[in-house]
This record gives sequence, structure tokens and C-alpha cells, in this order.
Amino acid sequence: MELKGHRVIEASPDVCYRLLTDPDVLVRTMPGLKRMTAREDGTYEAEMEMGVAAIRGRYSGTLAIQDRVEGTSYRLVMDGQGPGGFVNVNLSVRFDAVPEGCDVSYDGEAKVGGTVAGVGQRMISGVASFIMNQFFSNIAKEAKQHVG
Amino acid sequence: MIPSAFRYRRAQTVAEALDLLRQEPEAKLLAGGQSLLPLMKLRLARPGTLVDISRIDELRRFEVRPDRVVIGAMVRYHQVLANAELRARLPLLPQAVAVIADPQVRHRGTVGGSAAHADPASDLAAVFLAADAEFVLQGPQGERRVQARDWFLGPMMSNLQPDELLCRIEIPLAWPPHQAYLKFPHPASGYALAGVAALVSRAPDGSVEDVKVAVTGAGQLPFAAQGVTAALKGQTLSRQLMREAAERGAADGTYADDGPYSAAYRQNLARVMIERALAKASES
Amino acid sequence: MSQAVLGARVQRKEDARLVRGRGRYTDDIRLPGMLYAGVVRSPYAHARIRAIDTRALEKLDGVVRVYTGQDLKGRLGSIPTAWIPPDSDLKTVEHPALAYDKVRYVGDGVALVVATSRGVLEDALEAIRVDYEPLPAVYDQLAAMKQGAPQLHQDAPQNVALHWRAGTDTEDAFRRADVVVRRTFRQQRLIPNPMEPRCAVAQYDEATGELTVWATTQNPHIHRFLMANILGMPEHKLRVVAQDVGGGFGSKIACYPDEVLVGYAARDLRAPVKWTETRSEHFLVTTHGRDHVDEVELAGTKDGRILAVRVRAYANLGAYLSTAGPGVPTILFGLIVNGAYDIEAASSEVYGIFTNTTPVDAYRGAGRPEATYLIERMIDSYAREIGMDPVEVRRRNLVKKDQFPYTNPFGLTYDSGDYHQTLDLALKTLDYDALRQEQAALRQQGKYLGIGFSTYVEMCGLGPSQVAGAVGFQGGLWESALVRVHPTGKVTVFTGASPHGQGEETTFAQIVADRLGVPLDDIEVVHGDTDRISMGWGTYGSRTTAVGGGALALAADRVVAKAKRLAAHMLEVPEAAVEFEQGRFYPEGDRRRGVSLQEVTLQAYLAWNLPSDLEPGLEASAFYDPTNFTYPFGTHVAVVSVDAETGEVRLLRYLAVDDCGPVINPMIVEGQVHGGVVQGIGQALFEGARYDQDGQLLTASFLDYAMPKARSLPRLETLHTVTPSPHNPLGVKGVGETGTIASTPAVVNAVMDALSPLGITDLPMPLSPPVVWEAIQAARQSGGVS
Repeated sequence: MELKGHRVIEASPDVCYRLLTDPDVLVRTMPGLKRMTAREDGTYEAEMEMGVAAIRGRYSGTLAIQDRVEGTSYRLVMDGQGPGGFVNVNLSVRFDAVPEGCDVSYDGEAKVGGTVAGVGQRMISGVASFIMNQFFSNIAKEAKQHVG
Repeated sequence: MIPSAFRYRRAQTVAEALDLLRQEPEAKLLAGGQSLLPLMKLRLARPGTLVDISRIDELRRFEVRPDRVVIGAMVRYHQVLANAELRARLPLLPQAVAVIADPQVRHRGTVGGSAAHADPASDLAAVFLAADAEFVLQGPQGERRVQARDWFLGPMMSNLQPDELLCRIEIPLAWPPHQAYLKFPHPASGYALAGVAALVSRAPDGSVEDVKVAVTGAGQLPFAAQGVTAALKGQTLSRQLMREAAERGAADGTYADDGPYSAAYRQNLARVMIERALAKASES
Repeated sequence: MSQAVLGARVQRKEDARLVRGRGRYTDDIRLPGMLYAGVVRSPYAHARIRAIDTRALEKLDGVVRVYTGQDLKGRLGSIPTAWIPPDSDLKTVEHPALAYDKVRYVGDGVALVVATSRGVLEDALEAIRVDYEPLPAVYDQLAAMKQGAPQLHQDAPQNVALHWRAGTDTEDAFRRADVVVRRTFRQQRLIPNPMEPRCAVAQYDEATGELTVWATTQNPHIHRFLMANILGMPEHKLRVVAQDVGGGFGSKIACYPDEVLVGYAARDLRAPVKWTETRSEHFLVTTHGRDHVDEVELAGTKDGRILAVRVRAYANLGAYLSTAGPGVPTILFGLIVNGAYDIEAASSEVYGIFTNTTPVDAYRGAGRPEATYLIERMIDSYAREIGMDPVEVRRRNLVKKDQFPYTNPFGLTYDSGDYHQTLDLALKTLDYDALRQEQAALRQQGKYLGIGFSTYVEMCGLGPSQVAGAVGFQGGLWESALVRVHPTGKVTVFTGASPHGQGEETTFAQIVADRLGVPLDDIEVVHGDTDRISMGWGTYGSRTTAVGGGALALAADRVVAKAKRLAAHMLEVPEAAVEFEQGRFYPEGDRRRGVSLQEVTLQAYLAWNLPSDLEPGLEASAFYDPTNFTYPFGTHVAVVSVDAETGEVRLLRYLAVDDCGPVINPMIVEGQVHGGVVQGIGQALFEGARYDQDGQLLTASFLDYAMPKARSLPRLETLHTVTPSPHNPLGVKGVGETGTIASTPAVVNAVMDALSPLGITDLPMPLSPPVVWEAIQAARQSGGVS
């Protein structure tokens, strides 16, 4: 499944970059992300509960922020496995300065396997975009606090 | 096909249900169970506790009053179908209920359960939006009323909070007799690929006094096709005009590709079904 | 009585229990101390298994045992294929019951868990953590053959499982042709979905060393034969029982890992073990059907005479070779691509290809729907190319009545037929000319009506054993029957066929009632148990009535022959002077004296006074091997309208004119035609498995996989002509698959006919609303025609 979108955040690219690479902020803002524990190699162990309302998949795995270009871009790689299947996300995230602040754009794909892939087709992309929207709304709020 | 272990509690009153929701870990309300139980069997949902609200009398109220119909959250689809007064006063609702799933589901499934589940292709979503339904909730802070336009927040995400209970749905009966619900079912699931609820009121001179149309299934979320109202209000209906109105109404939705059903196809289907629902409603 | 029973609309005997919920299905079996087994399945289409962590199970009460692929390696044989087409270079790759190094499709089993209840079992299946290293996957057969594609098996370079050819030289005909039509068709992957998913229960008796496996199978003896080998146990100590089976459509032919694992666990744990497939599992692991890409060329004259047909097919076989998998796209497809037409030159070339998908095997029609689709679609394409009515093209090329027995370019001998008669009957019933006028009038109004034909023939009643051997089927295709008349005159019939919904408990009783002159209610048909039936090859390929019924007729005749000798003794007349009619033996020309079969039977068992050379008792068996396949045929017509705004295809009429020889029970034949037609319509309009790039099945439930529904169907019209087959004692031809074979191209031809004003010539199945709508949009934009 393709994941692609962008959102203008009222904060500088540097602030946005910092927020979006800060594990504490990510756990606060990413719906379903329960825990991120840093490992020695710079990646994180992650616990996720992804979904909407009562429909949730539990995944545990790794989350890594790679190819970091401070204030400009990075790549988010997430591998989660759970009882009903797996979810792997590979996103490149860009931060571009715009008059209103920063245009955060993401482009990549999510691979989903198991029960969700098999029976959730009708809902899967709608749910993904809903979660991304929620995430960016939360980030926007965080950014306001930083600016304000 | 066996759910993961859960606790089962039956509430006798709304207050008790709210207490259980607060006390029990990961509690979830059980109404007719036609959506929740299959999800639990697939283990896509794993509530810690099921709070059964089916025996709460207050939730089974079903009254057609002069100004509104009050549908308790536990009113089952078949009761809606069997209500003669409702058929006369809000035919749109039984028309939509009649095409929900199959007789088994219609005998167990509830109007409130459907609303709370907020499936983006639910037939009733279009009815709620077109007929300005109002959702009456009870929570720790007391009663809260939510308008239909604020109800559907995301796929399977209604405005209902985890500590709240949907008590009843109220639909005003101010609507004209020209009503129709038309559905193009998904060939596999039978859910609406496009389901359209249309209400048309005519002025004595035949022109359109008001029109309300809502679409379910086609877009990422159910939506009110306000473009239709803008295009038709005060106009005299014609095929050409209805076509243009449908075009504008369909443009109010947000569409996404979904397997073989492209966004373009979905929007087209919304347009076609709006046009047909308008024609059917205005002929009724 | 014989008049009354054969050809009568007798209600199905089995329905009394089936429709009242009294059927006994495998999952109904409950044994004391029974354990429940389940399989941990790969969520990846292609991956290496790094490690399996079962530690979490220690916390769960009720988990009895876990077996991983490594545990079973060397203890269980590879799951074999039973069809090795000659000269096809078939790569018989290893198929372990549980993957031990690599998984090759979503659903491939990696561990078996045995627990004391299903609830515990499902918790345990979730608790096992498998560490996978994902590998690139390929789901499409053309992509799988390309250089650099992911390799599934070491021994199958470029994933080619087989390469097979048949037919005659076609070069000369193509040189002479006025017209050459070329098309590439994709025949999508289908998921069988019988009402009952698979299930197996196994019980081991330590005292006797005997293992009983109750299983949802179409062919218990083949299962016993294969499982005895895989499990490494003596065949006579293994009993396989198919109780009531809720449909199979080919998906219950194969010997699967799951049933073998259940047998292994029951023997190993000394406890009964049950495994029941969930519907979700069914979508992923029970064999799929079809999945072809076919390049077809037809050479013809401009006045409608077909000179040659050649086909190159790429058949997706899935991740492993299923039991009949390699035979379906070769023997059952490639030998009949000329269809019902007298075509001088024809050839087929088939590649069977491994991909990271569920294994593909027989699905109702198995190979013949694929072949029929090609030729029937080509006939219409050719007709359009030369501007001739497709009915006329058919008329000019169908094999004529006086050409039978007709040998096709692949060496098959079509037994008997009057193909033109079914076409004429269909045209008359439809009032074809009026329908074409209506179509023309509707076109004037911008409405799309289409008429589609399929004049099919198929090969079924599988089939002589000598041919089975010649085409690489690793078994015989004869059938056994035993007719036992009990001392009171009641009859038990044992058949080696294994009906699972086709109604043979009724039709077989009709055959025996007719031959023996006893009431239907006095006859019990027993099937599906390797301990009660000496041998049999099962039910598939529309073979049960033609071959199993043939065996039964012979056995019944042998019973009558023996009874006749005793009757002559009792009547004190020479045997030659005894007549048998409606269950009574008479002296020739004397209807006043006589003895009933019942009286004779009692004497046969009492044996107080038998002729000196006659053994006591009254039963007879027959092992019947037919001399050839049977070739049912007919004309199917679909009339459709297309809603150009939504792309929805509506079936307005569907007419099936079939010839399956003499009809034993019209109601059952109609039922078979109805079911078959609807399944074929399913392929044309609704069904189709879809995978994503990573090999995830996207249509893994009824939410996304569309089965045909009653609301989408018109009232089906069925008619018959009767041309007996000379190849079996009853003259019958199979009818279990004809509907599926004929209807898919009839419907697609109708839709293409409807859309012809837009210049649309072909669309990929299923012709779902968006496919049709997008084609109409594209045609309008490019051509501006409407």
C-alpha cells in the first residue's frame, strides 16, 4: 500500500525535524505507538497497537530513523510483528521551508500481511490515511506549543 | 474463529453500563453483535470485557412521535421494518434497513450498534446524514447530543467516546413524502459501494423547496451531498438539472482507490446513484 | 416399474438428512479424549525461517505438543503430485508437510500445535513467534519466468515446473489462411469455496496398529494410497473415511499437508486429533483453480471456415505441485482446445510455472473450461473479424452428426453427438432473429444488449485406465461396485466413487432399482470408506455416473444372472426359459407362475436346495473400466444488458441446451446444470483472486471475493437432447461440469457483443462494474462512438 501525503506545520523545518525524530514526541503523537526503547545500534524497540476504535492489531518490532539529513529529510523504517500478521513501513520524510512554516511530506509504502491484509482490504487505506491525519494533527499541536 | 478470552458483564441500567465501561479494562459495549462478534472471532478486536446492554429497557424504546422518531440504541432492524407508522412517515429509513445484509442479521443487528460502529459503507449512515439525525449519548459528564454531520469522524470512528454510551437516535419527522434510498451493493460484501438517501420537498408550484442528499460507501467517509441542495433549491426539476446536481453532489465526497474500484469509478457511481435516487424520490 | 424409476424425477434420498441438519460431516465427529490441532501459517509469501520461538506456550495450560518443520523432517515423506504428464520435464520438487527452511506462499505451514480445546489452540497459534527473513516474492506466472525473478525451488530454473506440447503441425494452415486472429486471454485465479471447509479427524488404535482418518475428500482410496506412503505405514492398517462431504468442486481431490499432519499427530500422541479449517484458512491454503495466460491464434478463411488453432498457455501452478495440478493445464486442457469444431490442425504448448501463491489444482471443469473459453472467445473474435454472425461461424465448423466417432487433432475420439441439433433448439427457443432485432432497436436508443453463445464439448467420465497411464495419471480410472442382496431382499450397494453432493445415493439407487426391480427405498448406497469398499478412484471429472454407474449396472446384472439360475431351479425350467421382469422370474410365456427376487434371495441364503454348481449367497461385484471418455456437449446462450453508467452487467436470460445422454434423474441433472452454470457465471462476472506485489492475497474473505448471488441471476432455462454414448452400459455422459465449462464464455461473449458498438473486443475477467465502466469510458474518449 502506498503511503503518500503532506501537511504544512506552523513551525520551522528545524523544529519539525526535531519533533519528528524525538521518541517522546513520537510516542505522544503517533496513534497506537505505545513505547519506543532505544537500542545500542541507534534503532528502537517499539510496541504498537494500530487500528481504529475496537479494531486493533498489536505489533512489536523495531523502528529506525535512517539517512538523517538534519532539518531536511530522513527515512523511517518500521518492522512490526504481531499475532495476526506483520506490518512493515518504509517512508521517506522531507521537511521543506514554506512561508507558513514547514511542509512535511512523506512518501513510501506499508506492507501488511496476515489477517488484516486478508480481510481488511475494504478499510485499510482509509484507516491508514485517518491515522496519518491524526498523527499530523497531533504534531501540529506539539509544534504550536514549541512556537507559542 | 475463537475470540481471545474476554469477560462478560450484563448491565441492567444505563448507569450500570457506564460504571462497567469505566471499571472494566478495555471494555466494549455489546449490542446486536453483528459487527463486533465477527471481528472478535477474527481476533481483529480483543476487548477485555463485553458489556451486554441488550437487557436495558431504556435502550429499547421505539416511538414515532408527532415531531420525531426516537429509536433506542437496542432497537433491531426488523423492528424498524415492521413499524407501519414509520413506513408512512419516514419511508427512507425502512427502505435502507430492508437492504442491510440478510434476514438473520436484520433480526439481531441494531440501529444503535450500526451507528456506533460507524462503518463508512453502512446504509444507515446516509439516512442519518440526509435526515439530520441526532445522537443522544450518556457519559460520566451526563448527556451529550451530537448532530449527524459531526458523527462520522473516520472509518469505524464515530464521535462516541470510549466512556460513553449511545442511548438513542432521534430523527425529526419534518420531511416531505418524497424519499428514497438507493444502493449499489459491493458484489462481494453487499455493503454499499454507493448508497444514496434523498429527501425532496416540492413547493405548490412544483419547484424544489428543499432537497437533502447523503451518500454512503462511495467516499472514504459518508457525506452530505450539499452540492445537490445548492443546485436544485428553488428550481424546477428536469433530467438535465438532476444530472448536474448529482455531479455537484458527488464532488462533495473524498474518494480513494480501493483495489478494482478506482476513486474515479467511485465518484462516478456516487453521481449516478444520486441522480437515480433523486429521480426515484421525486417520483415517489 | 423400470419405466417409472429410470429417468424419473425422484427426490434425492440424501436430502432427508441433509436439509434437516442430520448430515454427518467430519467436523461432527467427537471422540473421547479428542485433541485439537492447528497450523501456524506464514504471513509472508516467500521467506526464510530463521527461528521458531515456542517459549510463550509454557504459560498456556492445555497445549499438548508442538511440531515444527525441523521436528518432522525425515519423519514424513514429501507431499507428492499424482500426475506426471509424459514428456513434460516435470520438476517434482519437495513439498514438506511443514516448511523447515523456506516458506513459499502465504499460508504455508511452519508448525503444528495440538491442544486440549480449540480456544487454547488458537491462543497457542498466536503465541508462537516465528522469525522470518522476508525474500522477494512473485505471484504472476509471466513475471516468475523472467530472468532475475525470485526462485522458489532450487530444482526448477526460472520457476518452470513443466513444458508440454501436443497436436499437429499448423504452419501450413496459417500460411493458407485469409485471416489470422490473435488474442491473449487471462483466465483469472478462482477460489473454490465449497460450503464445507476441509476437516480431518484421526484416531490410532494401539492394539491393532490401525490408523483411521476421517477426512473431507472426494477420493478416500487415493488418499489412503498417498498417505500410507507419506506416513510410512502399511496401507491395510490405514482406513480413510469420507462421511458426508459438503461439496468439493475439485478442491477436495488433493492430498494436503494438514490431513497428513493430523494422522501423524494421532499416531504419535496415541490420542484422537481433529483439525478443522476456518474459512479464512480455506481462502489461503485449499487449492485454487484456473490462473492461465493464454496466447491464442486462429487461422481461417474469409467465408468462415476455421483452418487451424494454436495455443500457448502459461499456467500458474502455485508454490508446489498439487495432487492433480500438473495434469489440469496439460492433458485436461491442451488436448481439447479445438472444442466442438472440426479443425484440421491444432496445437498446444503449455508452461506450468511455480509462483509464491496457493497451489492450483482442479476446479469444476479442470482444464476444459480454460480450453472452452479460448475457442469460444476465438470463434466470436473471428466472426467479428470477417463480419459474420457468430452462430453462422459455429454452424459451419461444428463437427457434423455423420462424422462420429470423430478424432480431433490431438487424437481424442469424440464418442457421439448431434451438435447442430442443440444449436437449432437453442435458436428456436430464444427466437434468435427477434432478439437480434430487439438488440438493433435498443442500440438506436443507446442501450447495450448482448447475446453470447457457447457451443461446447467436453471430455469427462474419466476415463479408461490405459489412457490414464498414457497421460501420466499415477492411478487407474476404472471403478468398482458391489451389489449385495440381503436375505430379506433389501439391497446394499457399495461404490468406489465418492459422491459429495452430486446425488448419486439417489441416481445409483435408481440404476439398481431398475436393474433388480426392487423398490428404491429398499436400496442403500454406501460410499467413501476404504474399509467397506475394496477399491475406488473417487468422484471428479464427471466420472461417477458414467464409470461408477457403469460398474454398478454390470454388478447388478451379475446378481440377476445368478438369481436367474436359482430361479430356474426353483421353477423347474431350463435357465434359458426364464424371463425376468420387474423383480420377478417367470417361465417363458407363463405369467401365472413365478418367483420374486426376494424369494429367490432367501433361498440363496438358506441354501437348502441349490443347484449343485451354485454357491450360496447373492451378491456380485464389478470392476469396470470404460473404453473411452464420454463427450457431453450442448449450446448455451446468455443474454445480457450493460448499464453504461455503472458498468454493471445484468443477465436477462440464460438458456442451457445440454446433451448428456439418457437422463437418469432430470431433477438432479437440472440441479447440476444450474450449479455449474452459476459457477461459470461467477468466473465471468464476479470471482477473481487478487494478490499484491508481495504475494499477499487481497481477496481472502467474502468481503472482497465475490461469489455469484441469487439476486444477480435470472431464472435459468434448461433443455436437453439425448444422444447416448456407446462407451458405457448406461449410455450416459457426465453432466457435473458442463455448466461451468459452457457458461463463462457464453456470458463474456454476450458482454462483448453488447459492447461491440464501442469497438471493445476483449476485457479481462471478471467483468466487474469498474472493468466494464472504465472500458466504456476509454472507448468513448478514444473513438467518440456511443
